[in-house]
Amino acid sequence: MENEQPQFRQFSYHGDGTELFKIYIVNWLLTIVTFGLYYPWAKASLLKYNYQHTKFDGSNFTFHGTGKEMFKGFIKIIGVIGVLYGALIAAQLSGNTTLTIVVLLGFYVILLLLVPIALHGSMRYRTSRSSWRGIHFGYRGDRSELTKQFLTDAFLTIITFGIYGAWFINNLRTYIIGNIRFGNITFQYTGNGGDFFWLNFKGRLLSVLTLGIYFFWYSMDLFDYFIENIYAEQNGKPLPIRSTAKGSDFFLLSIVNGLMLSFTLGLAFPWVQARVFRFFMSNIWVQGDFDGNSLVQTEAEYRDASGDDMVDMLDLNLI
Amino acid sequence: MNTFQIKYFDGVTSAIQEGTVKLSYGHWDIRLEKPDGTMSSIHWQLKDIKQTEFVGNTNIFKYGDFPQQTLECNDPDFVKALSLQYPDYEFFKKEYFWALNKGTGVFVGITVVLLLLCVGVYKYILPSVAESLALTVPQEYEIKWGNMMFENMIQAPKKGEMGSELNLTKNDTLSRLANQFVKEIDFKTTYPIKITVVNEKVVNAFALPGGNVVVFNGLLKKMKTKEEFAALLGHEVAHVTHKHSLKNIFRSLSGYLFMSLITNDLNGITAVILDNANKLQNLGYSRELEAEADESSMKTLKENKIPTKGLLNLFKILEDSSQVAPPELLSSHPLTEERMKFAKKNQIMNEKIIENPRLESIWKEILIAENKL
Repeated sequence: MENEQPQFRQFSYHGDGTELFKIYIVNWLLTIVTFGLYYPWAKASLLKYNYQHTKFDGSNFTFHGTGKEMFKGFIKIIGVIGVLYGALIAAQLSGNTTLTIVVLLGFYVILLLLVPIALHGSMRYRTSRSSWRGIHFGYRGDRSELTKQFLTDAFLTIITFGIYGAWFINNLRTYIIGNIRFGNITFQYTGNGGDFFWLNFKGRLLSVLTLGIYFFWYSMDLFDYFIENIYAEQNGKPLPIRSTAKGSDFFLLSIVNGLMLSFTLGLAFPWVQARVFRFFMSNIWVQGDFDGNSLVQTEAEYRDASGDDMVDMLDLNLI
Repeated sequence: MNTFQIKYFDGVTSAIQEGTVKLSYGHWDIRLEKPDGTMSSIHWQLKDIKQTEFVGNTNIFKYGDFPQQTLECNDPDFVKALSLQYPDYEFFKKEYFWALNKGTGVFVGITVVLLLLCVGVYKYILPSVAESLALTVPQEYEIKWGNMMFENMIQAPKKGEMGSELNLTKNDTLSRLANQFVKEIDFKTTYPIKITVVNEKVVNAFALPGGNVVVFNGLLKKMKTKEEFAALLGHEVAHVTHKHSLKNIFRSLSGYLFMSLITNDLNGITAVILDNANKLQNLGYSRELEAEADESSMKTLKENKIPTKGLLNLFKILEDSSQVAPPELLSSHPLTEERMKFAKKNQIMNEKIIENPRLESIWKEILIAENKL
């Protein structure tokens, strides 16, 4: 039955706003009552729901992470951030200007160092805890390699006043996506900094000139660029990934979402989120001769959620 | 019937294997049809069936350690059969939040109660906890910190940053005179009070933690009598003595922490701790803190035998200028009818004034410096 259309396979999201609303309310209440300590469990329940309701080729994804795992990471990261801030505040209270500057510099250096380390941990955790038809994803990147690349590119981005940022993001995507495994499927990212730079340049310029209206088309260009440059391969057979998202559709989606949110004072957020997921998922297609039955479990288990919690807390959105 | 159609994934490959599951005593019998037509059989021990999920109308069960085996069953009678066969065994985790099982009414009720509880904590409990925390900060830290803030404001008035509307340049003559003036009044405070008059047209004044008081020349220019100035200083020094700034900082920080905790916006905390440090001096005081400072000021006037009508006249100056000045500049001193009433009520008519000639002569010098004499 599933082998009837071998050429294109679509992702789809089947989550429902009402169910999401219940999850949000419960998460929110328990987070309040526990003064925030419930946060990791809240995150787990939301991820579980969204994974379960995302399907590919007839089967849903599963998120295996638990609140307990993420809580352990959460506590570690709170500790690290607490120590960093403690040092900063102590230095400031000492009134010693030199000390304050030294500690402040150290603070930023450590924070910068923590970013690639957190990214690495997050990728390992998220991929290992995601599965489809019982086969887990995995990330085989090397932490010190990623850190080296990250710091070099961050430095270049700073001295070029952000221009190198396009290459920075592309190199990061290339490294990370190139190290993702899904059973015996490998991935590659084929984007390049130059194209990405001009894409952003054009998008921002036109967004300003059209008083923001072009922004929706710009967002879709970014989405397309990301998706269409991911290239999967199964047993030597190429599986290009395609996006069919259109700026006009995204524009309409955003208008309706905006109206829904403003008329309900934000209460419609879970429904809006379901609409957004549905839109993006239904616009991702895998082309080629994908064999959903021949994936083989290849990746080891990884349960340390510290990196993922760190990424969450720093609000990193680099990929 | 205890046998159901299932889909099975072995955790080794992604192949979908069709088969049946039979619910037996203590275990499940899973029979799978191999591609070559032969059958294989697997046992799932009841105690190791770990996770159960329900997606759409599919029941999903996981078994064993990593990589887990998975079983999916679409049969609507499967759940019923489970509870009949294993009445003591909980396959479906109970909804972890019991209120969700009690119907919409109870759920909504509990939500509302908890919300009210949150508002209560935020409005009443949090501020007093924050204030008592503020009181534990040693005075020396407060002074050090206040001095740092003060130096930042006077030295680095960058546009658009900390001092956007407080581009402060010190007026040396008036500051010197104001400090002489302040020494003639006993404020009954343990803080080292230091007055700085800055060349600003704005009609305002504020106090920093630890003893620095900044008076804008715009306000000083409008004053006609020394008792008005004394009332202002009494008010600002009271902010210092009662640690109002510190209480305010603790209040707003704790309020922010609370809000970001309940909105799950943990990453926001990082930004705000840094951001808030810049905005501290722009925060307004609460009505209670202002009232406390007014009372203190009145007391200082009385104890120093300075005419108490100074406070009322000060309010009149502030009120007159609030009609022309942008209102946000007065946000640190919201004038209310109540404050005027308080000043009027506590003003002593025909009071016994003991003139302090030093105070009078310093005030004259201030008037001369302001070109008013």
